[in-house]
Amino acid sequence: MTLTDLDAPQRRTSATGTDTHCPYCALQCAMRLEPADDGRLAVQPRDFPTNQGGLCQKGWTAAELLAVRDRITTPMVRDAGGELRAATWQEAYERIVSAIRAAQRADGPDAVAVFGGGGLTNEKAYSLGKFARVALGTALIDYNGRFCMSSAAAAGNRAFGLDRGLPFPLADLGGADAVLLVGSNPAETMPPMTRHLAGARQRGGLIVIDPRHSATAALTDDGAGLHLQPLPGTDVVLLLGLLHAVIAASGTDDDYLAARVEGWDAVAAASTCWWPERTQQATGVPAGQIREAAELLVAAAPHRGGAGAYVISGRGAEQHAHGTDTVTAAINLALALGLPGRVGSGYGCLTGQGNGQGGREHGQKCDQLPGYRSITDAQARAHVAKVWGVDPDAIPGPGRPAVELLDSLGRPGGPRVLFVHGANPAVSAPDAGAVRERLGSLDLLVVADFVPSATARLADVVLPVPQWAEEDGTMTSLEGRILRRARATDPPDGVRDELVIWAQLAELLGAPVKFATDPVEVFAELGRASAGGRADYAGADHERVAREPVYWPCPDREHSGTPRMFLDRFATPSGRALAVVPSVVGVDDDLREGARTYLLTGRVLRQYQSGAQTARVAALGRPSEHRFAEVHPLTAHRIGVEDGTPVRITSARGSFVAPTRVTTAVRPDCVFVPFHGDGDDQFCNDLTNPATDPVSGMPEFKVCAVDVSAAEHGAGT
Amino acid sequence: MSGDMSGDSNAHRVVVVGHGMVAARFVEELQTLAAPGAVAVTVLGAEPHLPYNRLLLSEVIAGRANINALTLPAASEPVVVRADTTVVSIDRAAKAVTDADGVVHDYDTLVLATGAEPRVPLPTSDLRGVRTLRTIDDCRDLVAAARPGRRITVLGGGLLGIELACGLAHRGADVTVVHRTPTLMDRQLDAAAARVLADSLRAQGIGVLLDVEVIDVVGHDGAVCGLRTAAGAVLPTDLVVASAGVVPRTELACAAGLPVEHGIVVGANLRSPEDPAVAAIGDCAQEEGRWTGLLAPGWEQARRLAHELAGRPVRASGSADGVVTLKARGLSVVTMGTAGGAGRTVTLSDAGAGRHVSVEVAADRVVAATCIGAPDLAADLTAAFERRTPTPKDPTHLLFAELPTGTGAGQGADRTNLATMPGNATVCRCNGVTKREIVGAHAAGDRDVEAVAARTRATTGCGGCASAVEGLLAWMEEVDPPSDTRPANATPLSTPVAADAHATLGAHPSQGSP
Repeated sequence: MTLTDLDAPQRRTSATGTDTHCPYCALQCAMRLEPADDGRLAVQPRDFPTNQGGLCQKGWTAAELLAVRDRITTPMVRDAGGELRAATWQEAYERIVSAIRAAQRADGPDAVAVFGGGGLTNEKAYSLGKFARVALGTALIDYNGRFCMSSAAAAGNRAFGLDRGLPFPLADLGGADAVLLVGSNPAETMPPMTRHLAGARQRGGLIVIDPRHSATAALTDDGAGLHLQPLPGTDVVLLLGLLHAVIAASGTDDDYLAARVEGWDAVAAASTCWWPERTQQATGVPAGQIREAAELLVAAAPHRGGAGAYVISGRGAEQHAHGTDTVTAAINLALALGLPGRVGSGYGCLTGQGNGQGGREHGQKCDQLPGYRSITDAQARAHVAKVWGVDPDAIPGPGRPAVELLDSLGRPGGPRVLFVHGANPAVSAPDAGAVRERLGSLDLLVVADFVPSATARLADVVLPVPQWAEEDGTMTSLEGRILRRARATDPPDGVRDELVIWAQLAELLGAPVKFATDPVEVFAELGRASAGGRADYAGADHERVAREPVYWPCPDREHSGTPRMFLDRFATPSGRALAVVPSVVGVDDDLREGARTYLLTGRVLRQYQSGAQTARVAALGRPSEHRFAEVHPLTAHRIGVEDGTPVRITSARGSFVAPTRVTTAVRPDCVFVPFHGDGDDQFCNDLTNPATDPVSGMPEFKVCAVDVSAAEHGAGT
Repeated sequence: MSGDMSGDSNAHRVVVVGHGMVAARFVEELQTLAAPGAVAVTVLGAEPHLPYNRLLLSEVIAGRANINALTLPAASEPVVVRADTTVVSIDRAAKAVTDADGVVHDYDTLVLATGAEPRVPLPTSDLRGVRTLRTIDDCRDLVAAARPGRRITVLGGGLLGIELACGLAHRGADVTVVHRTPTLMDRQLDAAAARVLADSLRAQGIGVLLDVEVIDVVGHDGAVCGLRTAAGAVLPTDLVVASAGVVPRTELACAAGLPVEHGIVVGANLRSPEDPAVAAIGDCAQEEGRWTGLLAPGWEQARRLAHELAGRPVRASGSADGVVTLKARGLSVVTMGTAGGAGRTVTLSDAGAGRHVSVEVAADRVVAATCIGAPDLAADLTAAFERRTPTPKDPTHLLFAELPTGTGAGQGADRTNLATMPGNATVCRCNGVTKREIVGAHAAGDRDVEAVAARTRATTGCGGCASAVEGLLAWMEEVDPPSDTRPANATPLSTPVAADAHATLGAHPSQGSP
């Protein structure tokens, strides 16, 4: 086996400091990494429109990731005794290549699959999609963004012809009279974002829909706005009820609807059945609050002379087996008020992962090619094939969305080899216990990571890769702005960049084309592949995005980018937004005898996603500190638990024990558990429901029926 | 003369008589569920309008709903909808109905959804000024008639009567509700609850006359000017709105020889026992001896019949039935379930506050409840009733859901007394900075928010705690004024108000440095 020679990496840090962005969420707070006295790097916040110089504790402590004790710096291969042991890159590659060949010889190209991540740089997201389709020849690639942005993306594409999380700069929120957050908790998930809610709060116009009185819901207290606290899984109905109340109050922007929206009459008629009292009955939200919220929104709407209003959705509304319908209902409400495509108003979703936006645009999705192109569109295939230098017919067709893909692993006809890059599905997938079982049934599981995450520990081959501050590339933030992720230090010896790994594996597998390994070169190729597509990056480059704001679409060097979209027309064939009647469907795994409480899942401020990174930052607390169950005092009293005593939560799929946190923040019919779990021995996603949205493939993370009881003494604690 | 020729010749022909809320729901469901071409649906509606939400007419009266916003989802091709079409007869032998224009519509299944009409409990008279509220046209008339100061008598203190009374009062009319029993909403409320409701109405300036039987109208110049009671009194009025319940429209069924009692008799399959080709749903139907006149059961019937006709399995929805919610400004009345079972009942009656809550619990479930004047609690009780969630150990707690809640989930600090909050209370959530650390920063010489931020990172996340940090610094200045001679990192000499904070200062004089 021969490989193109590559320079051995050396650990080197910039002497003067490096401007970059936070490794975690999609807010991508700007920071500067500066050499500290101890020779390490230290974080300083940078002024930037999104974070306005702010950082949360995760951001401040991000540099600790560079010094985690259990950093993987050598490939590891599972030996005959079942133990992971250090190996050479050559050994790891040989193991991978032979397993791929054996599996594909027996079962064809789709015997190998790829699971990517929304934290990968644009360059890596792009290259991973290309690697899967060109080097592995498999149709089977999907990614953890399916668990994140897929419902919002599907609904956005359907309504507007294009999905960009926020089709306007985040800072625009500050001028609005009202902001409606539907199932979003930025005060925990991206704290500096809430700076942009200050204006709406001052004017009493922050409205938060959440079954929990979250930290974000608490921002509505004391006259700053309204918290609507529905039963979980009833967001569609609540949004239809709000729409009804807007219509009943003659609050619709009829000129806008006539000029810019199609299909409106059917949507308006669908809301006629959801008057506030009936909505109250279905959602548990008092009718008076529904009317009050509608009045706030109408008064803020531009056609009523308000300063503007925004409707923003988050995972709480989207991570349902009918999340696409929920987002559609939120979009309909925004359309009724005449918000999308207007300066100072709009609809958007808050992207979760660091590159959740860019990660969904460049080919990690099972049905998409770079530039947000459809893989079934012949023209799109021809365009991308030309950039890749392959025959269009050689590009496989659509694969399977994440939950389906993970469920097929190791089953007859399913993949036997899986690559995981930038994801931790052993913790983060719904019904995670079943997913771990599937991962265990593979012939070969290859995981690229920089720490031994729960998924990496299950791998047959672990490939050590650089992390955030050790790599170069770009990220696309929640507002569609392309940002520069700059290398502030070299990765440790022994680590190889994914771009290099894929290039080398492609070469070993006899791929028809070479893969670029320089991020600048890859980005230029991505630009060409995306040119003319919906997410067009052709006019951007590394230098430009570091120098000036560049929001996609940006089709050429002279183009100034697109901070605000849809001002003249929507990206649909007709140029009008499409109002779609949402279905009203109940919770998939609903309350029943033996499971009479709803389980809600979510995040805490000091942890990020599965916790694979943040659980290793000492300042953010031990993983077990982030395992708790919020229980209403009446429920605690009923089942006989107190603050701190263990409670057992059991769903149809699994069981979980956590210390009780007694709080009135949850409804008495709900319990709340954070889903972080890496580094711990219990995973809340072992309980969650893998039922998926028929349009987006999003699983129903946010609600399922559980039994809640006092745990037997000492169990699991 | 033949009717519609639409649809496949093999399609099962369904003719729906009536196009109200239940018929509209039935057609919508059937259209969604049936295989393409499997059914050919014709809807014959007597009103000239698209189907609309009748329940919201009282909201229009109250000025809370736009009359143009009541339209229900319209049936689309290939369903044939004929508005302004009254059916005059059914020929069951020929399986056909004839409309007023003489057009004959053949059916394989006939669905009667003829609804009900308002009952007017008065002798027939030609006097102007006696009205009902059933149709959109009635609603327009009533809105036009409800001028400020006009004396309007609502005859009947049931759900709709009270909604109407409140709506008309909101328009400035001088409204009196006259009810023939001593108990308002007597289908839903007991005497105690009804008393609180009557008081609430009176508090809104609405007259309430109970246990008064009206036997006739009194006229002047061809218009009504009063109502004569059984006791011989005359109640002066300018307008009477009869709201004394509804009577199922059963004439067509009667004439066709179908069994009719209170409504058109149907079995559990919603078909007439005499003729399985004829079904009845909604207000005109009496299913297995039961008739409610409520929308939810009608919609449930529509759903079941649509499933059956589409060849889909028919399952009961399992949803708890019988939540009744009054829609009126400034008045909240919600009832659910049937009280008086074997359960345990807890009651809170607070007439002074216009509040009355009664909850019956059996086998750790809410089986019935009445909730007046407690809107947020009503929403919670409805959720508990419908979802059958476990009740608290002590059901009394069900009455106190509206207790003020201190969740601790919020920014907290700026709303709390800074002096007395404990040292370990979090001031800056984003960076996990406690009061203790900020006090420590002050002790170490930090005198402004920037300095505290540089040391502790407080305020550097969402920025929401800036005012709390400022407040803490001001408080420290007060209790521990700076001394020029004291070194910057010394602990304060005087004792701050909170002992906890002081103890902290000694222990961690400079905690929180990044």
